[in-house]
Amino acid sequence: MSRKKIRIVHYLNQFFGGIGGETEADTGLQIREGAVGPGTGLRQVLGEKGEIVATLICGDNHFSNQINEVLPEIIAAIKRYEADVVVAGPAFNAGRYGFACGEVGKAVAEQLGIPTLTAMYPENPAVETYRKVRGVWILPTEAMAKDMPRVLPKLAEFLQKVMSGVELGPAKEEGYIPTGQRRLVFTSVPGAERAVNMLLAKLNAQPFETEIPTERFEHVAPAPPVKDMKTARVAVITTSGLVPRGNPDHFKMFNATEWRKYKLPDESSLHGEDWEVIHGGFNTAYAQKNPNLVLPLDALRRMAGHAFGELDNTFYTITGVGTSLKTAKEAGEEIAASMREARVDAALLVAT
Amino acid sequence: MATISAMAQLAQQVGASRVVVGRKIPHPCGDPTLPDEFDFKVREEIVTMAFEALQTSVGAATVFRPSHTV
Amino acid sequence: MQLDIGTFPVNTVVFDSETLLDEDELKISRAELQALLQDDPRIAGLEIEIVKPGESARVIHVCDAIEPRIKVSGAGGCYPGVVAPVTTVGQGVTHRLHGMSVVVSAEYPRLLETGTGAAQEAILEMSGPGALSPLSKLINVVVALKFAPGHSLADYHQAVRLAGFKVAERLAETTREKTPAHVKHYELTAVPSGLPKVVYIHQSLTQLNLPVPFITWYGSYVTDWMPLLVHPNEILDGALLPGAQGGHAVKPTSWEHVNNPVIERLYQAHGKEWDFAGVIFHRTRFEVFEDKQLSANQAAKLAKLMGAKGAIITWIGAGNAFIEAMLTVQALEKEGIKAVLMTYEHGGKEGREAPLMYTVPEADGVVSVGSLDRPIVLPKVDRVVGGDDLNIKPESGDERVSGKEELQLDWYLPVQSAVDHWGFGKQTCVEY
Repeated sequence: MSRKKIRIVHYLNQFFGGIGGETEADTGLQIREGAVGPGTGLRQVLGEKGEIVATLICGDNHFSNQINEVLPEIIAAIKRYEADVVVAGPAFNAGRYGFACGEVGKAVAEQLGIPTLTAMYPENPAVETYRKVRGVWILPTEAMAKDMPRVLPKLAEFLQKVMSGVELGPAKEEGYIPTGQRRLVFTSVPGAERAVNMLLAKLNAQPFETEIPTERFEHVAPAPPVKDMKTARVAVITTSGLVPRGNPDHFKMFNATEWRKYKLPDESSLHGEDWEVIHGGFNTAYAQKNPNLVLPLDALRRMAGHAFGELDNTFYTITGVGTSLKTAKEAGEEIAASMREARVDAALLVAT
Repeated sequence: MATISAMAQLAQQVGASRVVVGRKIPHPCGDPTLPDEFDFKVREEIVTMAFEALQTSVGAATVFRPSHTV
Repeated sequence: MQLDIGTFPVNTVVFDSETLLDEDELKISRAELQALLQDDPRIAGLEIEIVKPGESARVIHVCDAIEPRIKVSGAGGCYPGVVAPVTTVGQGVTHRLHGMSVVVSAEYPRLLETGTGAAQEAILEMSGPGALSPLSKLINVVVALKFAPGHSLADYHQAVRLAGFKVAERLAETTREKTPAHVKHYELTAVPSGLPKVVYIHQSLTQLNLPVPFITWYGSYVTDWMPLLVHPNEILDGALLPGAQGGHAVKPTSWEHVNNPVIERLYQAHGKEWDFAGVIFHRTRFEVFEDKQLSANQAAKLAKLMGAKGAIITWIGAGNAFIEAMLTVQALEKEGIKAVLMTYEHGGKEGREAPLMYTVPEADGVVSVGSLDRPIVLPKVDRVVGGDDLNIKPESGDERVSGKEELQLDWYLPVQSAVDHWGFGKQTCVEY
């Protein structure tokens, strides 16, 4: 049985689609049969392996301004042409074009479940936004379009690899931009020897590469200040794993997956005999004896009415040890929603 | 929101906007090695600083140090 | 300080009527070993079993693994402060039985319900996907203890520890009059000038305010100590040891401490690539940031005083002790000392989350030895040693399950030594 040709739909902006430069950036979506512009080059290197069945061309401004209308049209076209894979770009260092390629890839992955290949300059802002989308593969390019002749053969080769169904190797080996997943693998050299070799390279000013690039955390914009603390309603969150005696919701000492809210007692303080601290990451003896150390109820009761308005009678708790960022993020959003419902103005989070 | 943490720099690195320096990891709000009344005082000073932090406008993650008298 | 370590490779271990070493076959008298421990009132029951690499076997309630070593000439004895006086070690001749270990298994009562002091399950797999550590490649003589009721955690801990080291010492004793298969010489000799000095910053967490703070130095509990200058030979003779309160993935055993591959490799290149100037033992897990910073600064200061141009930093544990590791990298680099940090990473179940909990911009040379966070399934085994059943998460009210059954674990933590802090193995993580 002869192997079927890979059916490709290619996405281009107005410039690479041959319509024109910046002045034509408002051009609406055009659908052409066969290959256009860089697609003709791609077709050449693919030869009998694949076929560009259609090219979708859209002005960069039109895409970003009319995204809600144009994306469904793009998806419908890709479906109509029974594409096996989508190629978008290369976009090089063009910001809006990169964004369009990423958005197309994301929508294709989510709605059609087929892969999208694109290529751009690693510092194109779209790379950081879309490289982690499953089903979107980004190959690195130089900043300028003169890199096209080098990129197209790589794109063709990578496309065949993706479509062959064999699992892809690590980003560095295969030449794609990392997708944000770090996988456990076995190397050929023991860790201690790699450390010694790295130190030797560092000492001798030879090139070396760290095995864990340090990442930046997402920037969270601070909330505006509380206008009048005297009337503010305050709620407390603790990551100490403080729960009522008996651990009614079966909190675990590690790897929390759930948060809970419990009622605060009407008393002026928390008493150790009524509570338990379920946490495997710190010595819980102090907090077990005096829970106010991880949820300062005694101080808050004393200060309510003058230092701040009133205390919400519910507190929020989670075991903050080995908690995944995803869990923490979800818990944060859910807790915030719950607080909003309880008309809370300000929150204190006690982290152990 | 204000975060009370003994590892304030860590909280700051992950982007917590208002961080109040707590005493120690196992007991951020207070110091159980002190007599009860002083332990309470430490706790009160930390919570007071947290309220001050909540009323302060911040541009980026900021660390607030409670003024401890004990 | 000159130390010769004579190695006796062990390829078979069998039960016999007498305890002796016959070429590479170690014969063990169960009765003799049991008699060695029978007077301890804290021990109510005692079994001795052998498990082999590749066997469909699992040891549960693992507390420690010990390489049998004895001092045959020179000052002091191996494992000082535990089964020998606190005489400074690292000199003379040490014998060891290699290719095997003594694994102590005991299930501590849950006298502490939660927190870092709560007993945690530790499993040793002899085959399959969980056989990740060097311990799974050893023939293990398992000493399985049952406690008599009514003692404190500290008492039980001492009983476990003594039992393991006494048995190990007795087994190593079989080598005393024999000639080792090979001998390796360890000495920080004077080297040609011009070679850069390097140090090993060996970080260990200890947990204060617990009956057993985990690490001991010559048998003495390491509490909130500042960094200490150490000769690598002291570590090879067992001066630095973990506690035996129940280990797990992030708490290396005694066997790993005396076989630390970083020390081995630093020695290998000594006099050729560099001048190995010594080890800085650095206690971590301070609970106030300023103390973490101070200890990091002090470690860098010692390195500077030693004239170091480079340093390898390793750490053990999980969570906040990692902050000291990063702060130390920063303090070293600020002093102009090139730093390489070896660490495992996090990343969550799929490796899509942040690999490290805390970073400094100076950390440009990091070696990854794998991840703690990935789920792992330990398949059903034919044989379980150390007990019949276990409970991985007693705090959440889980039922005890048969030790032979398949175990689905959320992460590596319950697998003893599954995290490779010191780079014995070849695990790493790469970007996809």
